Amino acid sequence: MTLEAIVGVDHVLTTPAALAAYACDGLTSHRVQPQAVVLPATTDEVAAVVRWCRATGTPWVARGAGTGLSGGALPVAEGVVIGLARMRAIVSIDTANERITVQSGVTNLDVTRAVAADGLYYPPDPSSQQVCTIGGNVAENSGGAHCLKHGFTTHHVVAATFVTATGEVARLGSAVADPPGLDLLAVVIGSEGTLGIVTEVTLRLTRAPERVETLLAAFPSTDAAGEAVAAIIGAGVVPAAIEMMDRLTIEAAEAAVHAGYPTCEALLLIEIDGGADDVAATTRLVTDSVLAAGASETRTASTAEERARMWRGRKAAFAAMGRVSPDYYVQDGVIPRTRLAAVLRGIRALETSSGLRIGNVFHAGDGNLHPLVLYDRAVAGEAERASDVAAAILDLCLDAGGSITGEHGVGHDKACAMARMFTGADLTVMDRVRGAFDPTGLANPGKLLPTPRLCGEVPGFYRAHPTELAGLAERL
Amino acid sequence: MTAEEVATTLRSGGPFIPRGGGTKATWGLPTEGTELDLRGLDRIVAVDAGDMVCVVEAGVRLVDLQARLAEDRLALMLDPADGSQATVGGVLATNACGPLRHRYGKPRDLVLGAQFVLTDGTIARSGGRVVKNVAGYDIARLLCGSLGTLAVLCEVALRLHPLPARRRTVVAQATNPSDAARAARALAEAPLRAEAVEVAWPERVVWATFAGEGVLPGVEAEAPALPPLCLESGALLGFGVPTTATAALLALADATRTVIRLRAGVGVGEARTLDDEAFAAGVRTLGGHVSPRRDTTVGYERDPVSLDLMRAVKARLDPDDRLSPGRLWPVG
Repeated sequence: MTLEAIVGVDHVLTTPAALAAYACDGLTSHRVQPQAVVLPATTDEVAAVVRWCRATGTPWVARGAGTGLSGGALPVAEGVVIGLARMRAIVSIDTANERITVQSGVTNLDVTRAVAADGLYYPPDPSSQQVCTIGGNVAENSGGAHCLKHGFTTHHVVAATFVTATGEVARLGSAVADPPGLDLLAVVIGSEGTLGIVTEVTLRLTRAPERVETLLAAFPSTDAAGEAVAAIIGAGVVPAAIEMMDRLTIEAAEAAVHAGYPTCEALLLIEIDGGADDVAATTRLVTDSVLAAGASETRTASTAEERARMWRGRKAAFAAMGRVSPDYYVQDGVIPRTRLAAVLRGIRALETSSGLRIGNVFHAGDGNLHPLVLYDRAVAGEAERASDVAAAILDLCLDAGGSITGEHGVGHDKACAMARMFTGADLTVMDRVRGAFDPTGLANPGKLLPTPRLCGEVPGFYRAHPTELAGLAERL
Repeated sequence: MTAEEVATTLRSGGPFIPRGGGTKATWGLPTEGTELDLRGLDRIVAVDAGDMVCVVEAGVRLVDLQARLAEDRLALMLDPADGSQATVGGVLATNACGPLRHRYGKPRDLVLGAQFVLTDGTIARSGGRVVKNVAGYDIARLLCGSLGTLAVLCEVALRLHPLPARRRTVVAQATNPSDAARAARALAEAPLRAEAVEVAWPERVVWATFAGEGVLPGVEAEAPALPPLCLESGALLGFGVPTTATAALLALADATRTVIRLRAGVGVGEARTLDDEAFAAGVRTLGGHVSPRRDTTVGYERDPVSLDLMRAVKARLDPDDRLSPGRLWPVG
């Protein structure tokens, strides 16, 4: 059996021009050309391709729309890419039970579009939602601006059709809540294509709120904006979203899409959803909180058009950076939200010491930072310096008790950084879970967990240093 | 008690059955072994009110944690009907839920990270202490509902919510299953989102609580006083059904002499039944499933490939089957 016999000759790509389109995902600084790209159309075809890979010892990398920002879909040179873009059927909709089943190649936004007329929606909303696929969302446990109140991908997936690394087909979870047995979906979601391939997903839908208000608040400093976030949360309010932008990103977004933002050092976008009475009362409470924290101006948007305009600048912020810098690196770190002001000061210090500008746009409500480190690869040494600054930002996050990734994933980019967040024992247990699902080691090798080959002298798998064994030093 | 002491014990032999307050010790299929009492892991390590996160050892009683959190006007939004002895670790290991499930989800939805011990003595962590985090496999969520078969939970980080400033309860008496189902659906779909929507059968009570800034001050109805299921006789089962099957489920309860506590907006609940085989068969006919909890011979079925994966995970984490053997599937 050949790959062409499984999926058809038109759906196996091997020419250099075709392969080049798959050489990277959203982390474009890393590129690897695979041996072939295979585009199956059914679960059975995916399973047959995986069995072919197993029989031939070929590593494989599953890929949705390729919008991931951590190189999770970076090909392996001696392997194949299994692209799921042709699997874009909506399989079934059950509005009464608030469920939809879709193939993995369906885009995030198309899920909501399919059920919007029934007053339902799918809450996780990564910035790439117009193009990113549900399969990719499951692999990355994707978040988005509105996850503060409504949860991440893992809170909305109830069942999946799953091709195992040995090429069998399992049905994980259940459309009906609380199936007995182990919750394997808990680890499959966010496993970045290292455990198997999800080909069909059943999602829990949410009823669209009766009313949504978006509040924009301008601040004279990022510190004041950070304090306002703490004040809102402290008041017992859980908004649907709290986003922060600093001066550099506000100016870039203004230049790009003319969102009409005020001139200020920092702004918050706060969205409140729910029943009409609840939203009205909560908006008053939040407005009082931000004014008390030093907001110089507040604006509210109630209609869909007004809200879309208010969000336009935020959603365009990453792309708008292209206007102010030839290159930038998007970091994705998490801190306890009470440490926001302190960590932002740390980032400012890095800006001063490195000479590189850093824009800040992030999900302030859940402490998920997206510092944008601006650089010019044409200037000798700048790319390396940007990389060092990005790594130093992660250290700030870890020192504050946070995480190396909130939603972009570990992928290729941060596999080595895993050893900074977890002990060797932690990583060994994760590797045991990986081995349970993928005894072949062919599923997205080199991603998520550190390997000695990738990470050189600092592999994740901790071995006690001789000084520790001798009791002369201890690992903190 | 420390994680290191748990590790030493686990290395010493077994099989072991991890236990907290013992309120759900019979959940799952029958198992045998030495009880590993974790109530000595009783420290509330940190309550970070500003971040709405707490870190607690697994043996902390849920009621004690809630009392501490209430000082900061916070709560862990889990309310299983287990009385006062349930521990945080036990609630997580069983994914036990109460009425608040409707709005806040189950334990696996609120856990942010865990420290746990494997039978070979490995002490490891997954996740973290922040509400958003995708670094590494989410083993803490996998351990939720694993019934003490994979690892021993020692310390967990949990997402908290603000205690609502205002809470109101609505109680209705239904005359028949379809009225009850209609009332429950209307409450679940109210624009002001409910925290809980419950049906108690055969008491024929439908009730819901609402919370939030939009709840206007007024006369507060009390949540109905209903006897907890777990104190009575008969087989105990957990179940899940489509939310559209509420009326049929209640009719099934009448036909099988079954007492039901249903989270009607989610389609899950507990049943005490004098005819467990007939109730389980009826639930399956409705497209649902049951989980054995006490005094029952009813088992469960999953597709063979996913069962193989479950067995593979168990074999990698507990290769000698020394943690609650037989709990998930018959030994052998």
